[in-house]
Amino acid sequence: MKVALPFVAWAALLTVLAAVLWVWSSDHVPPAIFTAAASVAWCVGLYALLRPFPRAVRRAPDLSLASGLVALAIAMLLLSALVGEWLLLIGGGALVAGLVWLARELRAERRVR
Amino acid sequence: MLVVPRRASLIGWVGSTDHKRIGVRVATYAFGFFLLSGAFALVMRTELARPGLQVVSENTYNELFTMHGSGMFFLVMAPLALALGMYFVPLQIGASDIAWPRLALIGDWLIPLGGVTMFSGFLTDHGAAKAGWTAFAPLSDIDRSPGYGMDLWIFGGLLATAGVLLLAISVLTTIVRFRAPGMTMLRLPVFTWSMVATCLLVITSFPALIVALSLLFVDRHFSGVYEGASGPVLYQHLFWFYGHPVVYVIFFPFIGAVAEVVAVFSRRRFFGYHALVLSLLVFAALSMSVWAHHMFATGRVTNQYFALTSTILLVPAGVEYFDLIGTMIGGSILLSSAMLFAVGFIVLFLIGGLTGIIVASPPLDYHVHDTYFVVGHFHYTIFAGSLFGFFAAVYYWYPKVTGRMLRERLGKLQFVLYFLGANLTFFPMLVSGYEGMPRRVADYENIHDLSLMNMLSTIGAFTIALGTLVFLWNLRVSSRKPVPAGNDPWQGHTLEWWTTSPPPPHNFDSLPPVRSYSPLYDRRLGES
Ligand SMILES: [Cu+2]
Repeated sequence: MKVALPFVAWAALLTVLAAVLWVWSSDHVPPAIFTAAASVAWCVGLYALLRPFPRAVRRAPDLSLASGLVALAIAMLLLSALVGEWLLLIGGGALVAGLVWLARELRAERRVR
Repeated sequence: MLVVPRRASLIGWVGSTDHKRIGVRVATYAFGFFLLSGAFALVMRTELARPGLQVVSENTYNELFTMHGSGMFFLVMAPLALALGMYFVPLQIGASDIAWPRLALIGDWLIPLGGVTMFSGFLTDHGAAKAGWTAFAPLSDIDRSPGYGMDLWIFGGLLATAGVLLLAISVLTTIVRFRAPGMTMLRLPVFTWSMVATCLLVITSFPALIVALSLLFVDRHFSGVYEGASGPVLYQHLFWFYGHPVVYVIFFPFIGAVAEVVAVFSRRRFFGYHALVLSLLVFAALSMSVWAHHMFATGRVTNQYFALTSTILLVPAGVEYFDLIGTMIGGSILLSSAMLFAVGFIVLFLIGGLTGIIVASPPLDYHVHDTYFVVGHFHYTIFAGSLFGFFAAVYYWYPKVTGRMLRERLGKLQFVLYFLGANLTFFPMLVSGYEGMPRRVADYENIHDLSLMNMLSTIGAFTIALGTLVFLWNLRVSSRKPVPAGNDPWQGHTLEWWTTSPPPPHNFDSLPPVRSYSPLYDRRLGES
């Protein structure tokens, strides 16, 4: 709990501030946005609560070219909205290839450990 | 165990998941975008030096201020903030690696891809985006901002924002899960706490911009999401829900770094640690609740709520100032370049904060809304505040990152030029804005003191540019004729100073016992 305390407290603080805005504001949009953000904060708090830190994983950094490919693919997919369908196809292919490569990297890393 | 090959290959440069390489990489291209966006500012200041149009057209001027602001927020300050966290958080908490390194690496590459996308707008028919860094609807819609430049701006903003978001997720998870034995939450160094607050803000507020910009693209090409009476207000809510917190995202890491610098160069343990931790969390939460103070003049928001929360921000800010000054009082202060920039940060951010009280008050804000007063105010916070904090961090941590010392004399020269330049540039803006000079104009009439004030600002901007050249020269000199730094040139307090400079891929061969937020300071006390 100790690790999660600041995160849970923070989410609670956001919730209180959002609640005050619900009461005060006649427009529903601002408090709705704020409430959405507060729920993201609760997710962070929940994660900290459920995932206490593991016993020292001592591992050294690795190389990953797949990550760069995934980033490039995401950019291509976005830009295809302007450039045309051909980039959508290339970007989609690159994304699939990148994700498969990423999965293989992770599997190799797990095996070594 | 997997180890990065030692050879400094291109593959190692682009593909390493080492958090230190990610940090340096992000900082390097963010600094590149800083030089580019800064150059735009110089062109604008040249245009504004005298009334009348001399250098650029109004159209080009609109592109310049849009790309200057967008570059500085999306591609410079927010990435720099996370780059510092990426490099130093794992070292400060005694971790050998980061959580989700591949996610961080994707984020790392999304940012420059976003930058290139955004700036490539200059190559299109209608030129780059020119709707301001805020891209308010309806100014940014397809009729008023035709052409690909605006779309490329949207995609660039999306990519860079998503990139910073991924970096923040990785840093925060590292803090939650990878702390060394003994490193409890209340023993986290001050800078690491500032990164906790920063990452929380990024994770909860940046998605709002992603939504805002995605909808803007839909609005432009499919259906008018932001049409009608309430559309523009909806855009502003989504935008400022990101746009205010981002100001703190680019503030907290630097006040955290300044706090470390102040403690180390005052030769004292940081004063008021618990109050600072609490105030950081409260500060961060409150800063999520103030966004509509940017919208007072729309007449469509609950002014009282947002004015109240904005004014309460003074309390945690006051606690932080109290702690920083309390650390210095009674310490034996060493005025190194890092410390000078830290003190500069403390002094100049105060001007930013105090002018902030004026714009946080609706009746006063009505007078200065959309004037150079606002421009002066936020440049005092972002340039004279955060960027000074960044340079404090650079002079403090550069020896750790490179194993080499920067030249102190050049550092002090840069500080003097920056301090003079910042005040000369931004103080006259407060005056001209108060006198009614609107922002985002290429030309102005020669009334009141506007000519004089603008000329002063221009001289100031070039003084800052000179200071930047001095810094680049310092980098060059220190790499040409290296002065070895050793592990701990400043007698630091935190774990990063325990390991070698630069640290090995796995960060630490051994760790000292951690019994407080300043373990190396404890150790020296024990020895003496
Ligand atoms: Cu604000």
